[in-house]
Amino acid sequence: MSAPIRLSEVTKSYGKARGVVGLNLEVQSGEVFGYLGPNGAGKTTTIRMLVDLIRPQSGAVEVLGGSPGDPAIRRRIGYLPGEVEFYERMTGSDFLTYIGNLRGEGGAAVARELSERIDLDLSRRISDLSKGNRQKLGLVQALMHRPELAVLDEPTSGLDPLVQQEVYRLIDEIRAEGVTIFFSSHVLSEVERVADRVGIIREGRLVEVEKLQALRQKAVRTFEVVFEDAPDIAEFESLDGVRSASLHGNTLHCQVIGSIDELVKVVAGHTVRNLVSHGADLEELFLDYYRGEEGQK
Amino acid sequence: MSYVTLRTLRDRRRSLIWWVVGILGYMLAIGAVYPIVAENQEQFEALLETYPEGLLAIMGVGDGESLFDPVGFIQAEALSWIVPLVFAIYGAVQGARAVAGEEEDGTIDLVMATPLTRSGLVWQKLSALGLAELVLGAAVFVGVALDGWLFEVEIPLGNVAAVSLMAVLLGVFFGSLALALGAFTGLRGLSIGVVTLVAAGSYLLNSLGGLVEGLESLKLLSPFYYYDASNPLRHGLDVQHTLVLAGSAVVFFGLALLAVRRRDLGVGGIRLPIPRLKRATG
Repeated sequence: MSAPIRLSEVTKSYGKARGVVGLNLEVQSGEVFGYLGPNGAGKTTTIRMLVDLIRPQSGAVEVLGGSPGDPAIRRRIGYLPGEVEFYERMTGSDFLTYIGNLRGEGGAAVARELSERIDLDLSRRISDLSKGNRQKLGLVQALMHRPELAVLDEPTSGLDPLVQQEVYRLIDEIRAEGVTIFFSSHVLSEVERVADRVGIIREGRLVEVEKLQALRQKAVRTFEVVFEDAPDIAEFESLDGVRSASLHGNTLHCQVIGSIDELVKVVAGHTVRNLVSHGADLEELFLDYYRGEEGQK
Repeated sequence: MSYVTLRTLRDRRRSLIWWVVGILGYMLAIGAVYPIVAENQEQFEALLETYPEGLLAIMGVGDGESLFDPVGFIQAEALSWIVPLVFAIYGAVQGARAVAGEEEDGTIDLVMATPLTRSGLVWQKLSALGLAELVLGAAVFVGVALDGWLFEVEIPLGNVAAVSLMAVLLGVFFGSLALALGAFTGLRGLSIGVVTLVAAGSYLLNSLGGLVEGLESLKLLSPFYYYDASNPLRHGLDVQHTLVLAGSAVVFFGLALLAVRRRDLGVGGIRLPIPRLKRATG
C-alpha cells in the first residue's frame, strides 16, 4: 500500500516569508507523525494543502494514493483546522449532521458515542461552548466518519491540561484502530508523548525527519545540581555530551546532549542537595539545528 | 443533496422574514396612501409641476407615467425605486457572504474539507441566493396584488408576476456579481462595497440618463434599465430584457466558478496573476 501522505518538492509561498520550500515528506500507513515547528514555520500551510484548501505552486501533494482535490479522497480524510470555526448559531449536533450530510455518510452513531465519552454536550449552541468544547467538537467532526487519515492542526493548543490528556487518549485510540495520524504542534513534550516519528519544520523548510528515539538522543537537556560541597568543575566539563558547564557556588549548571548516564554517575559520587532537569526544550532544539545549518555554510 | 443551500437559507431565515415584513408593510402603506393622493389630485399635480425634472426622474415619475392611476402610483412609489434597490442591496450582501463571507469567518475550512466540490459550493450558494430573492419576489407579488384588491383595480396577476420576476432577476444580477467579486478576492467587505456602489451608480445612470443629451444610450448599460424600461406592471414580461438580466447572472456565475476553482481558499487578499520575483538569497 502506498504512503498515505507523500509530498515531493512541494513549494508554496504567499505573502512575505510564509509558506514552505521544497518539502519532501512521506508518512507511512498507521503511523503517528508529529509535525513540529515554531509558529509561522509553515505547519498550517502544509496541512491546508493536504485537504486542497490551498494548492502548491510546484511539486506534488499525494494523499491516500490520489489528489486531495478528488472528493472521493477527501471523504477518507478527517481534518481539524488550527483555528476551528463553526456556524455559531447551530448546535453541536446540527453541525455534525451538516458535515455528515456533506460527506454523504452520517456517522451520527460514532459522533454520539465519541461525544459522550469525551463529555461534550451536543445539544448546546456552538456560541455557548468553551474553547475546550469547541476543540472537542472539531475533533468529533474530524473522526466521526472513521477516516483512514486524520490531519490535525495543533489539536491541543490552548486547551487546559485535562482536555489535552483526553485528546492524547483519543489519538491513542484511533492509532490503535490503524488510523494514520498527521498532527502538528509547537510543543516538543506533546510530540514525544504521542508521535512515532517527527518532522521538524523551520522557516518553511523541513530540517529533520526522525524517529523519536533518535531525536531524543540529540535533544539538549539542562541540569541544575545543588551540591553539599562545591565539586571540581573539571570533572563535569570532560564528560561526553556535556557542554557549557558552569559552577556558581555549590550549584552546577550544564547542558547535556544525548545520554545523561555519565553525568548522573559522576553527580552520584557527591552529596546532592537538589537536582532539577529541564526536558529537552524545543527552542533549544531549533537553536541547535540552526547552529548546525550555519556551521555547514 | 443541496445541504449547503438549505443550510444557507436556514441561516438567513430570520433576516429574510423581516425583509418580507418590510416589503409587505411598505406596499400596504402605499395602498393606504393612494386614496388620499387620488382625492387631492389637483393639488398634487400643482406641486409636482414645481419639481425639477431630474428629481422626478429619480423618484420614478416620468416618461408619461401618471401618478394618479393605481398602476402608475405603485410604479412610481415602489417599483421604480425602493423595490429594485432593496433587491439589489439584498443581493449584494448575500452574494458577498456566499463564498467570501465563509472564507472570512473561517467556516469554509471544515465545509471544503468534505467531499463537496468547489463548483458545488458556488452553485449551491447561488441557488440559496436565488431562492431568497424569490421569497422577496413573492412578497412583492402579494403586496402588489393586495394593493390592486384595495384599490379595486384590475391589475393582471400575470403582470404582477412579471414585475416581481424582474425584481428577482435584478437581485440575482447583483447577487451573482457580488458572489463573483467575492470569489475572486475572498473579501466580503470589498465585494459588498463595490457592488453597492455599482448598484447606486447604475440606478442613477438609468433614472437620469434619459434627461441628459448623449447619455441616453448609456442607459443600456444599467441593469435597472432592463428591470423596468418595459414597464412590466402595465405591459407584462419583456423577453429580451429578461434574458439580458438572466444572461448576465449566468456569466457572473461562470466567472465565480472559475475563480473559486482555481484559487486558494481562506487566505484573503487579492491574488493578482503577477509572476513572483525570486527573493535574493544569501
